Amino acid sequence: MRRRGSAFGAVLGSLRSRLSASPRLFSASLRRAALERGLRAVALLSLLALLLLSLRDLRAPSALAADDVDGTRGLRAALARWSTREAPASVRVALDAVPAPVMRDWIAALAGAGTRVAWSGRALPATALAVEPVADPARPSRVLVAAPDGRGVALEDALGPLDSLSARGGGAALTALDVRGRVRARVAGAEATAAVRDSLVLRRVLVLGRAGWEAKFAAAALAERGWAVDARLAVSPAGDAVQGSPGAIDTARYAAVVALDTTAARLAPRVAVYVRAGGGLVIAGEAAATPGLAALLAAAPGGAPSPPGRFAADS
Amino acid sequence: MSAEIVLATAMYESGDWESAPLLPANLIDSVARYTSLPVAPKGAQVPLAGEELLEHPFVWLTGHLPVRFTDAERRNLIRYVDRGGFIVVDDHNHDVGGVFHRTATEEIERAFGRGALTRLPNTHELYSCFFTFRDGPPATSHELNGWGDNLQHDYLHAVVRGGRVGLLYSNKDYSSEWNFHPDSKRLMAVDPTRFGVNLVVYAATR
Repeated sequence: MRRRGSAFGAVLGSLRSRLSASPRLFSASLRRAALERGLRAVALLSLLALLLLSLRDLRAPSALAADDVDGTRGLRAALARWSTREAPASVRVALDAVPAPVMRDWIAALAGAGTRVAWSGRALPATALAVEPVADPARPSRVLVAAPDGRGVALEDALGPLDSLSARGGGAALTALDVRGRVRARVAGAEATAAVRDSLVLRRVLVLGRAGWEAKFAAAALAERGWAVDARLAVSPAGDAVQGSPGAIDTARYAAVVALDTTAARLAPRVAVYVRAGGGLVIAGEAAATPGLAALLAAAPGGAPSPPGRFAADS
Repeated sequence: MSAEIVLATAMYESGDWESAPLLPANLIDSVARYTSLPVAPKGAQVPLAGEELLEHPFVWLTGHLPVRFTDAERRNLIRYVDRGGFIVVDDHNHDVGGVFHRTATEEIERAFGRGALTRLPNTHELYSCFFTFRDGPPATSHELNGWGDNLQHDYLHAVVRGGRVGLLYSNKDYSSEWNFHPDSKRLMAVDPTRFGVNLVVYAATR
C-alpha cells in the first residue's frame, strides 16, 4: 500500500513540477493528446457500429412472398431490387407469361448468387423446339415442336413464316426444304427458338442387284433425287455391269447400300461388316430372304407395320 | 411389268418393220448364252404408238422403206426414250444416201429436235459394258457387200437423254448381220451377235 501510494504520489509530484515549470508546454501537448484520444474513440465507436449493423443484417434475412412480384411486369423491378438493395434468402415468382431471355438469365444468376428461387407459371404452355438436318440431297430440315395438344403452333425462320401446325400427341413436326437462320415457334404467346446445329455429310449410295428394270430405275430414281450412285448389277457369272465407280464398301465412301435381290448375297459378308460399322442398309424384295443379309434385318419382313410416330405432321 | 426382259420389235405403219424376223431369236439366244439376265425366251412385236412399248426396255426398229411416223408414233417414241427406254434404229439398207436413212434421221430429228442425233464416240461405255470393242462398233459383213453405199460406217449415232443413250441409230446393217438362225453360230469363229449383247446389257443397266 505504501509503495503504490508513493508511486502515484511521485507521478503527481512530477506532473505538478512540470506544470509549474512550463505552462505553455502543458497546454499544447495536452490538447494534442486529448485530440488523439478523442479521434481514436470516434473511430472505435464507428467500427463498432458498422459491425453491429452488418451482424444485424446477417441475423435477420428477409423472405419475400410470391405476391411481391406482380406477374412478369414487375419482375424486372423486383430482380433489380433483389440484386442490389436486398439480398433475400429465397424468392418465389409467379409468371403469367414466358419471361424474356434476359429475365430468365437474371433469375438463374440470382440463384447462383445464393438466393433460393422458385417459380410457377400455370398459364404457360410447355414449349420446346428442335431443328435437325435430314439426310437428303435436297438438304431439308426437320422441325420438331413440343406443345400442348390442340394448341396452334406458328413456325417462322429468318425469312418469314414457314407454316402453322396444330399440336397433336404432344407436339408437331414439319420438314422444311430451306430453313434460314434461327427457327421460331410461337405457341399461345410463348416463344421458343432453335437453330440447326448439326452438320451432315452425304456420301454415295451403292445399289446391288440383278441387271434389269428394277435395278436400273432404282439407280436412276436415286440419281434424280440428287444422290451420287454407284451400282454393281449382276449380268453374268463372270462379272457385273458397273455404274459410277464402285469402291470398297465402307462408311467412308457410302451412306447406304441398297440390296434389291439375291445377287447381293455375293457381297453379304462385306455388307455385314459395313452395317456393323454404322453403315445404312436398305433391303428390298428378294434380298430380304438372302441368308447373309437376313441376319442384318431388324425385324422379319411381312409383319404388320409399326404404329405412326408420336408427332403428327400436319397443318 | 414382268421381271423378265422381253426383247421387242417395233411395228410402225410406214415401212417393212418385219424385215429381220430371225434377229430377235438370235439376240435372245446370245443374251441367254453369255449373261445371266432374265430374258424371256420369246420376243414380242409391239406397235410403236402403243402403250405396250413402255413395258420393254429394249426395242429394235429396222426396215428398207421410207419412214414416216404418225403423230402418235412420234409422241410415243419421245415418251419411251424420255422415260428410260432404249431403242435401236438400224438401216437395213446400210446406205446413207438411201431412203430409209434419209427419212429415219429426218423423223428422229423431227421428234427430238434438230441436232439431237449426235455421233457416239467409240470410247462410249456402250462398247465396253459387257464385251469390249476397242475400235467402236464392230463391222458387219454386209457393209462392203456391194449393196447400199458400200461404205464402212465407223460410228453410230445416238439421242442422249440425261447422260444415257435412249435411241441408237446405225447404218451398219446389224439387221442383216444378225438375221440368222441361232444354231448357225456354232459354225462361226466369232459370234457376231456379241455387240447385240452389249446393247441389251446397256438397256438393262442404264
